[in-house]
Amino acid sequence: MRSPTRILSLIVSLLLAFFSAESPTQTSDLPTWPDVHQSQRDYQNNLTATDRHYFPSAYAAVEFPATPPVTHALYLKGQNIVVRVTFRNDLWFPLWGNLTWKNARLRVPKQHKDLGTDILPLQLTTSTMPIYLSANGGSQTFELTISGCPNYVAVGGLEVQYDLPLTDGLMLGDNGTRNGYQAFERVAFLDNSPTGLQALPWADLAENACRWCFGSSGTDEVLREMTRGMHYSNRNPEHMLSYFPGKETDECYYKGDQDELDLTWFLNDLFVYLWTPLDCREFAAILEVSLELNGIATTCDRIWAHISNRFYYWPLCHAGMDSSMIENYTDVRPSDPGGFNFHFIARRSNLVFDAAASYKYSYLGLAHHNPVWHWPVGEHWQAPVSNRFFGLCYSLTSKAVSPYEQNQGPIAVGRTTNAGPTSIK
Amino acid sequence: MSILILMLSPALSAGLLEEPESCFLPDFVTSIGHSVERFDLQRQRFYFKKAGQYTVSVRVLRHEGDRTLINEDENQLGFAGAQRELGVPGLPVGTDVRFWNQAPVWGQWSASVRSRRFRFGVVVEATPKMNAQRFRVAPDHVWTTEQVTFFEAYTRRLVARNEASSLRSEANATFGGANVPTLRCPRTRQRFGNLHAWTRQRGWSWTHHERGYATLRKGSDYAVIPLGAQKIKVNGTWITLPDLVVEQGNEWYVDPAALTELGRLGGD
Repeated sequence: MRSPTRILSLIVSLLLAFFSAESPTQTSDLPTWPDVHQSQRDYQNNLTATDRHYFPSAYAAVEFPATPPVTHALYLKGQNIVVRVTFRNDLWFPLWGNLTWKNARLRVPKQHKDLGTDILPLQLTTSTMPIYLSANGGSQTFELTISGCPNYVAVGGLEVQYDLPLTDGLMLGDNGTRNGYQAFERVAFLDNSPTGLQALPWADLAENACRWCFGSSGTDEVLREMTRGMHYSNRNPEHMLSYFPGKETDECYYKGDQDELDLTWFLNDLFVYLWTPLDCREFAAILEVSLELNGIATTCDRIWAHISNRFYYWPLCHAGMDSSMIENYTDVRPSDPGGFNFHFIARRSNLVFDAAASYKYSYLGLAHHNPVWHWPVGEHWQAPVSNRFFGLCYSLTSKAVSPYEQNQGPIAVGRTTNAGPTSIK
Repeated sequence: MSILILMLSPALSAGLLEEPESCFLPDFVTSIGHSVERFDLQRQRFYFKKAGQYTVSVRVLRHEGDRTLINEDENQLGFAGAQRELGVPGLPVGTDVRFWNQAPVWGQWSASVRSRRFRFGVVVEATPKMNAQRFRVAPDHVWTTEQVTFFEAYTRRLVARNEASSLRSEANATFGGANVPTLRCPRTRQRFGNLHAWTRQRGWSWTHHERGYATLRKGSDYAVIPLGAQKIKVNGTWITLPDLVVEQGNEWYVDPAALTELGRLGGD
């Protein structure tokens, strides 16, 4: 027999819930039971990861709840998302009913630099399961398997739709998502198992790197699209990169004297500012770790000027500028401000990648107007013309020079907690 | 146009950095209408906002390598050239000021200031404009009048305060007919008299200019006192002083020769 106090409390709760109910377009007019909520989401088979808030520690085993919040679950491309969801009842009486997973989708960033998101439908097997939540903290866990995941590099917010009608034997309530979806964690799909400095992958780097090469699959394609996407800030219109050779020394994320990439500082800036300027060494280093995140090992090389102190270089368009506009290409003389006497590129085997600048000419002398991917390491990178050495490609007449200083990439990634970097070598 | 002004403060050429906090000059920056927006711990930089239009950020150079910003690049645009080309008004006499286009394509321009005891760099960075495809486009112009005014005022105070930071208070002394507080440099023994106290006693009026100088008047006589400069202008004639016009505790101090010169004027 129910006590009058309980019935009164229940009526009050349901009235409150009724008036706070969502839009009238919802399929269910039933109120939501208060104090019934998801108390845990535990992703299965995902990669052990970290981020700038957790590093050097790894994420906690249970993604939600966690402090600091775990924002992402990382999977390899094509892998099913498996998540154990726990519902909990903090009311003082038991509830029971049925849980029906209905739909899942990934809300992904729009292509190019378009603002907003697109929906990528995922699949799940619709099934109805009985649920019983005992009083005062009773809970039940259900495993949800989501298939049809991208078989390519992707990132987005996981959203799930489900029905959850519950009753206490007297009243009916609905704690499902109705016509809407509930946002779970964000999920990133990587091309391959992370390696190198990303052997413990950073989820916040994945949020950006997977935008840059969104949709690519396989080593060659990821190499190309990561380079191109980083150059054009693909699918990341609110957090873009720009190439700025004149950065001040203590503004650099890559501490040359420590061989350490301050990934925490870089990501902090990237998530805050509309534009994050990088010099060539940072571009190469971040390209390297972004590729390592996707299981592709590369190195950073420094190309030194062959003679004198600086490059005369063929026209380049800095990342951030519109490389389709010829007027954005500049050919800087050694004495010009912004001129430089070396450049950093990423290299895999004998192929070179440079996300920092679009090159007006290819190494064959043809119009290129894009950053560099899959260009051979070769003598064309610097060439004598009229007794001057021009750098960074476009020559068929050069003599062999050896400008490469190999393996200049970061040997550690780190974080800072105050003004100076803290080495974690 | 919204702009970002990035101030690089004194890296003393002798490796000294006596009062890093003073380099930010927050009291001065707020006194000309800016509000403190935030402080970037990582960059050791203050950000100031003015009427939502632009942000002034002030930071301290900490590494020797940062002096590359203010190196003797062969293509710096000399100050004299900048004055002709851009109409830049006068900066502290006795300092070597150079403007150059750091990276015009990025809308970033720099200037360096070198005085006898320290040097610092200033970077003025335009908030990038974007086209419809969200690519950056080059900004419209270099060194707006407002930027230059701020730069001049900031430079004057930075020079004047840093020059005064090592001076010690001494007993009052009489210069040009008024008994005023004094400062003395413990190393050079150079002495300075309090200009504010002197003008109060001698009945001169002050008119402060936003560029960081003041005009003193008494009757038909006048004098231009540029803060941080080694010269003052008395009734239209520039007079070179043994040392700079300095500032300590919001009071301006000048070489006794300046007070003696002003004291000769009756103002009647």
